Amino acid sequence: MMEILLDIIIFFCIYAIITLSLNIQHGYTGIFNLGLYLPILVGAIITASIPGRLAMLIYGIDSKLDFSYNNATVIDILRSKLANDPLTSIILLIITMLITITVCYVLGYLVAHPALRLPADYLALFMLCLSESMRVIGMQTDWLTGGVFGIQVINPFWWLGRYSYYGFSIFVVATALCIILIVNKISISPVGRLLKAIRENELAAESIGKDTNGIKKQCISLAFIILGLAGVLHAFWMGAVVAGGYTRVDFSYWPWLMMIMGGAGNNMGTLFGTLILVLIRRVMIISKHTFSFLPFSVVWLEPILLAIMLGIILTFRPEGILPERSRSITDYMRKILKLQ
Amino acid sequence: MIPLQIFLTALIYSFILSLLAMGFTLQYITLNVPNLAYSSIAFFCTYLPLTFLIAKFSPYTSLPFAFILGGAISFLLFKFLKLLRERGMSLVGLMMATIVFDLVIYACMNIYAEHLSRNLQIYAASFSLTTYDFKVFGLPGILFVSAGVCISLIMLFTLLLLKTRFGIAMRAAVENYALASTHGVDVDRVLAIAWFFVGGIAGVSGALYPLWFSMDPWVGARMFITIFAACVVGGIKSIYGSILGGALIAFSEIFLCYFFSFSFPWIWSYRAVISMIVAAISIVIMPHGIAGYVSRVRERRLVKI
Amino acid sequence: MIGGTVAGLAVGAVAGYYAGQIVVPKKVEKPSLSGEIPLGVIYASPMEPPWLEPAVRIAINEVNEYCEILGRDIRFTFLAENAEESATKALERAQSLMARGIQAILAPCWSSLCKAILPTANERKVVLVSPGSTSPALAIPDDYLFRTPPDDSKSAIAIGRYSLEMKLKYIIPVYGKEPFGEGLYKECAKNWIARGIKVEEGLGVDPEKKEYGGEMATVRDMVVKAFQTYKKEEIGLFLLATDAVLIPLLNAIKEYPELQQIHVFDSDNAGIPTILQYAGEISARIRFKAYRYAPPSSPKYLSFVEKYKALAGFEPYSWAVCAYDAIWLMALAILMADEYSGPKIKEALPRVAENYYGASGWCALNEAGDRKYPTYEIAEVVLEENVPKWKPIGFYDAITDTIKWY
Repeated sequence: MMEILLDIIIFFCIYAIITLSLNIQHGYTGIFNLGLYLPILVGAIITASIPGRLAMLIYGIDSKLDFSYNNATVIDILRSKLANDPLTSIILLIITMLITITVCYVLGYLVAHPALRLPADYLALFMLCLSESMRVIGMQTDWLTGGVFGIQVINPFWWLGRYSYYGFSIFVVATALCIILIVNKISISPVGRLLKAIRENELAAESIGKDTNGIKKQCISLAFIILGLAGVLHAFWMGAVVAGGYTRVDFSYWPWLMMIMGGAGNNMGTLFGTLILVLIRRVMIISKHTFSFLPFSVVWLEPILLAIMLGIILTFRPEGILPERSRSITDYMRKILKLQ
Repeated sequence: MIPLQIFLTALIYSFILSLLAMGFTLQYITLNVPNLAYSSIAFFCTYLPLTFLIAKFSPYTSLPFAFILGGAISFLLFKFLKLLRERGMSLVGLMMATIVFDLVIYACMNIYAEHLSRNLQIYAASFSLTTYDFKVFGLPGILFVSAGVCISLIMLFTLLLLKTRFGIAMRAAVENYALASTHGVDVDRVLAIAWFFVGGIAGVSGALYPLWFSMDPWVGARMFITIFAACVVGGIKSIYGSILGGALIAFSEIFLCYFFSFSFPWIWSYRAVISMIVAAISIVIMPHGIAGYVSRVRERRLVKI
Repeated sequence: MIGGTVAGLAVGAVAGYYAGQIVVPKKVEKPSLSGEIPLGVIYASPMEPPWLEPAVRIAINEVNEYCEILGRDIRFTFLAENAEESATKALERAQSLMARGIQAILAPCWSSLCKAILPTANERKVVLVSPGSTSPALAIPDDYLFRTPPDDSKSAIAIGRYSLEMKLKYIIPVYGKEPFGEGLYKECAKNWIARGIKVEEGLGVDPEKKEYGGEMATVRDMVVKAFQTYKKEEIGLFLLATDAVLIPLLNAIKEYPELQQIHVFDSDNAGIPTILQYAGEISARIRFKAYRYAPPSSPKYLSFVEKYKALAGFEPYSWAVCAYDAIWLMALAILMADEYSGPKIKEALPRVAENYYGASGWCALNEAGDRKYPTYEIAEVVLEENVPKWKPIGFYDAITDTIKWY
């Protein structure tokens, strides 16, 4: 029972991070991005390529062994080393996250520069193209992520022995909480109001002297950082990175559905939507055998049910279960002056 | 010397891709919503020639039925989008609505493939019908059929647009929805028929596909990116631009890989990335595509005159 | 006197007690394991159940009959999940099964999916037995993954022997960049070089593209260049891919007469009906040959084939035979361990396999938990009454590294 709960919690936390970054992009700023899995994949690729190789250097492991080609042997050796070396494990984790943050920030900026010149729908599809390209490159390049085989990654919590899964779960929850707090802080700050202003009327925001393009670039860069961290967590959770597994259905369509269902522009709504869908997915996985009377494989029930849910929400409740609360000037004045 | 096979592949690919790109662009300019289910509709119809083959008919006899099936699915999608649009759905919501259809079509395709495998022992998870094609002077029949279908559909469409009342009404509706309706055009009917026609084109393109290429239920999802790349390169708001874009993408994918493969044989495994790179470069250099560039050049000449 | 009597009686009683222990054996305790034991099954792809499930059902039914005969109050069942070709989903499904207390899982046939699940299986100590994974990268000693088919390093030896027998001096490998094709290519390349055969740098093709006219043009150029140094019969074109990639590769060969003059060969796709269905004509024209891991034709194998055909309507592929034996191995290991516990099953399974002769032959496993002694069948596509058919032409024995030609 504990393991089911932990699996759901980790899955929820990772998707919460992804949907929150989507909420910043689309819910707050109105940037329509269908290529969420680009930075997630970059985060996963960094996790696959760097900490393992770094650990090999630190421990002076036989240079004839290639991390990608002799992956199983190397991981075996690293497991025995890192299980007794908590300090190195944590340092590797921190380094991975720092590198991911840096790379994703730069990537976000580079991608945003041409992308923001495009209208909304072009941008969405442009991001989708880039994500798909990255996926193909990841699948075809052996030394990066083991190509089509995938690659096993180190577990920075091996030193916890049989409690390593619990340790990792706590870390994922802590990271998710930090990101939730940061995003919430941004949303209720002047920056958040500025992002909403850009979403509502970009021209008006520009006319009062705001560099809307620059702000959108920063927004995309921030979102990329958050998504990259989600990719790192996902890779550590899986214990392996298989580039071909990062598909648009799992890492773009599902987060969009979670955000729309919960309520775009509302962090609580987004989290709520994520929780509902994670639970529904788990319930579908566990209970699909009760549908074995159907004349087709129950595997196909998932996309059909997903489509039905999305269709119902779009038709009857497009603003989501917990839509964004619109605030009047009076609300803001009351808040600022701390009036009742 | 470049082998004939390279030309054949590039030509057949370009005919099919041009048709697909044309259909995608037309659907886009009618409702200003990129239809993410478009390639799924097209590739769902690839199972029709296989079904006809199982029933001992030539796969080419399935083309009219593929037109009707693709058109019918596209018509249903249009109705769904219209309903949502009347309720004030935003662009994002409408695109999400096309994903609904995409998911359902994807599931239906796989269910059908599974049914064929399980009950008829026809392995439909991955199939190719090249063996069942005819030859004309040693060349594959699909070359002539795809060329013929592509050229005739484009000519038919051009005649429809330029020479018929329906075509004029459609151009008016695309140009300005409100103004067209005030002039007595039944805009919804016109657009519904346009979507049916475009869906039909997608269906026919899909039905031709397995006669040269190998097919599986995931081809639709992969080809979507290539179709989009073709539209972007040609000009996403220009129908003829996207036809040109389709040809360009097809030829560049095949020929670039072929020429680079002399020094870098591994380039073939990155073939799928070529169209995406071409599209990304096009977006940066010419956001409105070749058609946009050509019309700007024309405008400048007119200004000079 | 009384004291002596009492002492004597006491000594006598004690002696009698222990003598009784020797003469009358201790009553054997009834095995403790009972009730319903679920085994997990994870299919790699939604298209797998039609050909894998019949094998699983036959094995489960037979195992339950076996338990009845033994008088054991045990009933094996299975819970199936589908990874839908996704590593993330494979892990999700595996976690879902493990969370329901399942300690032994019939793992997916794909190495990439096994790789995704393995760290979790090792951590949670749940046994995985794959009937189809063959990547040498997963040949790891002392882990929780066992594999009933032989790994690619064994196939590579067999292909190397075949290449020598065919007197090939120059080989051009074309492989699908998928776990099966790429893994096998790397092993084969090592083996060919060791046997003194010149190997061109392999051409990897994108398995998602499904049209390879351009790639075959590159191969044709290589072949034309090779004609300057080697005779046609000394040149081999090896296609290392699953049938989904192999079919378009074969169809692309139709347009290149040069490629039809050399030796075209593949591994692991011998007997697959889709090749006959979608590329039969060209395969027969070039006398396309392929290997497959094949069980020896024993009465047990033939009995399984009959049962399978009655259920599925077609002949079983070799991975289905491996799946049947995998279920038997898991069940026998559980019965032997008398405990439904991953670590106990892991300990018992190799010992069970050492003594188990299944439908796929002797299932002894090596130190990495993979099949030790594989046997391969070589088949060729021929035309019989204008219909393409697979015709077995030889049998490879790994123990002696020889091919017996029919």
